[in-house]
Amino acid sequence: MAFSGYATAQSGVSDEAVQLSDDFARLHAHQESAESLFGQKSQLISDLRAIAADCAQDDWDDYGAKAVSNTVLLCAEAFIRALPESISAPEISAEPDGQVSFDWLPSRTRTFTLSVNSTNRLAYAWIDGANRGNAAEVFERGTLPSRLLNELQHITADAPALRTA
Amino acid sequence: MPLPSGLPEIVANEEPISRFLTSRNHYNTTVVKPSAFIPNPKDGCLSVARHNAEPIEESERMAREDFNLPKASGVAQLAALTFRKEGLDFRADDTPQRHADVIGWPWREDDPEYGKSERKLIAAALAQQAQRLMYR
Repeated sequence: MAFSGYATAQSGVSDEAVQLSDDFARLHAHQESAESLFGQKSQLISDLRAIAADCAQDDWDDYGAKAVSNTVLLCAEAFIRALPESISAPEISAEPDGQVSFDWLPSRTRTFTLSVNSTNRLAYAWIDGANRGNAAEVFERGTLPSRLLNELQHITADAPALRTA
Repeated sequence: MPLPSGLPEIVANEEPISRFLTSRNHYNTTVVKPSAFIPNPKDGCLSVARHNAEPIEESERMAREDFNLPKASGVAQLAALTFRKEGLDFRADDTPQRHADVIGWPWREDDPEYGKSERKLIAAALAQQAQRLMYR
């Protein structure tokens, strides 16, 4: 990036220098993207840990809710790390059964909501106007199920991506 | 025969229903999240009040004093019919007065996560319809 202003056909800069400039620009862009992504996911994980801390004791909601366990917290962190950078940032909440919910609420009529528990199965549901559905699928080795991703991408299509949110 | 609160035993479709919000992460600046409507696994029900949340001061007093919910910071408001359209119903025990449980949630012993996904779908539909009112 820093070299690009000098690498013109009239400047006498060699082809190698121009190539170096291009490589540097690509590397810089990649680094910026990685830092942005890391920052967004770090923020989500920080938010998650704050909620888990608030809900670490039974009856955190006055209604008799189960505590969010460390196992659920770790599973929820793994889910955040597995989210593609093209997906917008979710909202996070704790549920009365001690699970963690990730919600995408791009409009009043569009919702995608997903629960992480201490097993390797994710329960999720979506509403898009009059269309709705629900499913439970296995999440392992850091890879989200393709069907889940398809529905999530469809619901969040107009929302800002995670790395730029 | 009316209940001690004076309300009929059967919840009418047009009755306003309040779900007290007791966790800051169950709502954002504009809407109520589905988590606010997930039933408690201990009894399989969602605890609600048969009240229209107005005046808001009375709603707050009811939440804190009658329902013993010191963390209540607001209320999600819905018509009873909205719950029934999702296949749910009410058990009006009037303990405390005006209290009812929302019953009829799907639970699956053979596939708990799929059952959870069904409850999440219902909770999401309720959240979309809910009006969020916060205490001052």
